[in-house]
Amino acid sequence: MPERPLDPETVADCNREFKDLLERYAWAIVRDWSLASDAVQNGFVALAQFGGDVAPEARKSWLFKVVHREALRIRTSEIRYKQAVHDADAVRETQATYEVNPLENLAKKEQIAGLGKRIESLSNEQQQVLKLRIFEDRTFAEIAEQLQIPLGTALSRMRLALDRLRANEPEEDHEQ
Amino acid sequence: MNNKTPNNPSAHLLEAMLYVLNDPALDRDEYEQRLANDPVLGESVADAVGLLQNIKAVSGSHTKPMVTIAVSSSAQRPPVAFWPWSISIAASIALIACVGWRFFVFERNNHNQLANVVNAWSDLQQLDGLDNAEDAKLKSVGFDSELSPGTEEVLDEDVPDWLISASIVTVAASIGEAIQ
Repeated sequence: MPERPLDPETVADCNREFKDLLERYAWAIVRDWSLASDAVQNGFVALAQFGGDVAPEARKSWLFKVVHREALRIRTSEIRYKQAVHDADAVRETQATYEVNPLENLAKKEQIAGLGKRIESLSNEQQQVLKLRIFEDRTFAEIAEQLQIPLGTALSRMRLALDRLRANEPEEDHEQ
Repeated sequence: MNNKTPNNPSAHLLEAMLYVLNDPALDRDEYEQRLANDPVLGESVADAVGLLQNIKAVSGSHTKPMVTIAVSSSAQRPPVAFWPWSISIAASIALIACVGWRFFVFERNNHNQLANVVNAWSDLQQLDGLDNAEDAKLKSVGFDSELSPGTEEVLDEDVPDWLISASIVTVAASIGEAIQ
């Protein structure tokens, strides 16, 4: 691991650019936003202390690895993870800064409104799988059994739905 | 889902979503090992979390305003206040127990007195053949003895101390729980 410090301005730039991404990543590991924030904070402290020799194009990957390690370390010592790992709904408990910046908030609302339209534009089969998996918390095996389709088909419908929902541009019609 | 990562963003996102949703179709431990060495997968996981947040927000926006979500987003939510319910239920149970006790005792005493009257009346029927003087005397004795309070067990209508104590303890316990 490199040991030369990184200048504070570059650290601040990295923080602005990668913090949200890294927090979402850490959340997936620790299942708690405050713990995820701790893991990411530790990652940036490490970047400030030892990131001087990391090539600029490698900083993001370097941060992902450090945050991964930090998140795992925090998770092993936290009982909250054990309680939350089965509760994907905890993702609703977003960062406390969610409503602080009005412009960001507006953009977020527009993003969510757009996503709502894209959900409505999904095929019935895709909506069904999405609803069962995300809102009713059924496993894909249960969904496949309920809909009497192969597991691969259920996963395929979900994959197509996710692709469509992730896309930023307007969608054309397509079938699963 | 098998352990090989198909090398396209679409498959990465699906895998990442399976991880985020903790679906048993994905081997979680194996996936975490791959995550440790592949930041591209890490980005997919971050994307999946962001997408899941937004999908949940879409569903939430139909039921509660965003401001409410923000207010309730703190990691340390205040506990749900259940104590008013707890206390009122305990107090209701105590009240019902006291009223029930009084009703039970009232009914029982009434039943006893009615039975006494019936018994006295049947005794009188058996004395039909006696002289009038003796008859009257016996009637009097019969009614006096049958209806005098000392001859039958009459329950006290007051709510017993143990029931009052139990009610107080129940309500106090509820209040104590609420204070904690």
